[in-house]
Amino acid sequence: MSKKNIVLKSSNGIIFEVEEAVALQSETIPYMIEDDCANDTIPLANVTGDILALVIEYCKKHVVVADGDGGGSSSSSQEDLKNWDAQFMNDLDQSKIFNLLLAADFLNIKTLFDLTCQFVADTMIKGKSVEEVRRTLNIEKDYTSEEEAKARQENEWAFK
Amino acid sequence: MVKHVSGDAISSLPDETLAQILSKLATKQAASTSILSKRWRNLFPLMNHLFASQHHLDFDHSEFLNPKQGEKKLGRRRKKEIEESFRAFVDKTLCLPSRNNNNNKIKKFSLKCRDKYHDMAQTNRWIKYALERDVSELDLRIKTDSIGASSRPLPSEIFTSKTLVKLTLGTYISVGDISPKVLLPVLKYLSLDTVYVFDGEFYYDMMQGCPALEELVFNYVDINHYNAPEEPNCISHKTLKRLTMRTNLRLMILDTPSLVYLDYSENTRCIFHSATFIESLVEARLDLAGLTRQDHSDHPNLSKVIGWIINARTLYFSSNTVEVIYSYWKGCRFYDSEFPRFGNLLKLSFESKTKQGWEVLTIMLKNSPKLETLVLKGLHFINSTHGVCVKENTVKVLEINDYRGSLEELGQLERFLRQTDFLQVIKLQIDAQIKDDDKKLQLTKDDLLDLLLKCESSCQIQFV
Repeated sequence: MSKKNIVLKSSNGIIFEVEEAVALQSETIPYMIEDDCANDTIPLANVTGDILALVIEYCKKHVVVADGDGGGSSSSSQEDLKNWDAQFMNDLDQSKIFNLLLAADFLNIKTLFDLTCQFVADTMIKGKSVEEVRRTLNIEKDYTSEEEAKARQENEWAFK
Repeated sequence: MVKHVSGDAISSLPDETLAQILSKLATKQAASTSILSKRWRNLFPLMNHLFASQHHLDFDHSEFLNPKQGEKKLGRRRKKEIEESFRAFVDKTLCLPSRNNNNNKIKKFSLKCRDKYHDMAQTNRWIKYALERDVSELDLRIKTDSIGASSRPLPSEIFTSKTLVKLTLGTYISVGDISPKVLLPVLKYLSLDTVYVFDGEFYYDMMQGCPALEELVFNYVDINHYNAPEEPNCISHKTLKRLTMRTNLRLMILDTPSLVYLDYSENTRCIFHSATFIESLVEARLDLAGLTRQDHSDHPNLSKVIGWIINARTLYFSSNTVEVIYSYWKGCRFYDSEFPRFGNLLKLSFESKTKQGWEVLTIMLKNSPKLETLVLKGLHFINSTHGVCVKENTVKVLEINDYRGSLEELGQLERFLRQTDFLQVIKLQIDAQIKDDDKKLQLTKDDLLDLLLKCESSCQIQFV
């Protein structure tokens, strides 16, 4: 099969040309190709250039491994990939992470979406007290104290 | 570290995405987010509604049953309150009104709690409900207050599930008076931790009813009780691959001809009538019951056990096992020709807490012609003046755990460096006491470098 490139355009007009196999990790893009003219640029109105660059970096890394030996990647490369994923997430700030999550959801890239959800759960919520989570995620407490007491009562055991 | 941004950036995410994030957390922590804000109050129920099939529903109440040392003991009334809130929480989370849709499935359900007599019916209802929701991993650690004939039977539906892939049952749990009918067609992993049954056929039926089983973890402690159930005495499965056994049973038949991995620990000497897996076994961990002063005879099992592991590629011997082997070899009057030959052995882990135990290493090395990796533990117990001879070995990688930098250990390392032709790497895992003391650590490292120079060795030393 000859290599075919796909052109993606971010919401702020930045153009990315990627191999088809890289782009097709998104389950949304095939529909967009069908809908539009295949040779045209695919506009991604919800994804900014910096986030799209991250998505493409992730997809490029993951397409290589899925390609090798007819899909069967060795356990060591699985291990490498896991380390790569961890490093990739670690380098991002919070707003990038949330935007990446939105992009992965919109583009329907299951593994990236799962990875990002897991990262948010592990680094921003897990092992933290309610106050710490509020501070980390900048969540404004909009409960009155009676409402809070009621919410607490609903899942009482979770606070023991 | 995650850098902070101004504003509530997480509020830009849709509810479904936040619920998806909650599905990755432990159930208790996920539920505790409900008091973050009004919006978050609805997210845990939403997660439970949409993503239960991806979530590990984990109801772990064991912390309260076994408070850590130093923690304040709770008053009786407070305890009862917490107990009730736990039960209410499980009830509410598990028993969703909507049924018969795909989201209603449960992937993994864990329950760790204590049952009083009047709680049993409710607990059994939860288990049945999880089974109705096509659970694929079920982990039940339920302590029941009464052991004996009157104890509660588990729901028999557990043993006829068409969806269970992993099942864990424990501890001191009773299946009931009559062995249930077992048919678990897709079960691959089974862990039974001291499961009592008053029908001796249960363990046999259980194995026969799980045709796809690959791994069995089998722990059993018999109870001194006038009303004690019959002890299991046979594990029989044609295709079982991995078996981990920790028991104090005295009599056992292992009929598992496809076994590749065996991890066996005994508290009491067990007499195996028969075992069939000699050809297949690749890896074995052995912790035999140690010698006591009353024992004049050899371990009844040793020659049989050695027979099983003789073709293995990886072996782990505990200190007790090494003692038992020493006494066996002593019984052979230390004739080299009497010692078994481990022709396929590539990796050996060896631990000894006695001087005489370390003497077994010499003969083990002589009889392991393909050995590449040797892992040692307890080396500071070695005889200070003689050490042990390590001539005639093919070891490339030597790993030493809990290295303390004693003269005995250094002396033995020197013997390795001088007597081993193929040694390339020594990996040292330094004892925590030395590691935390910078001065001692530096001394230990200096000693090792001096030793390398002295032996003119090109061997690498790595600290792990």
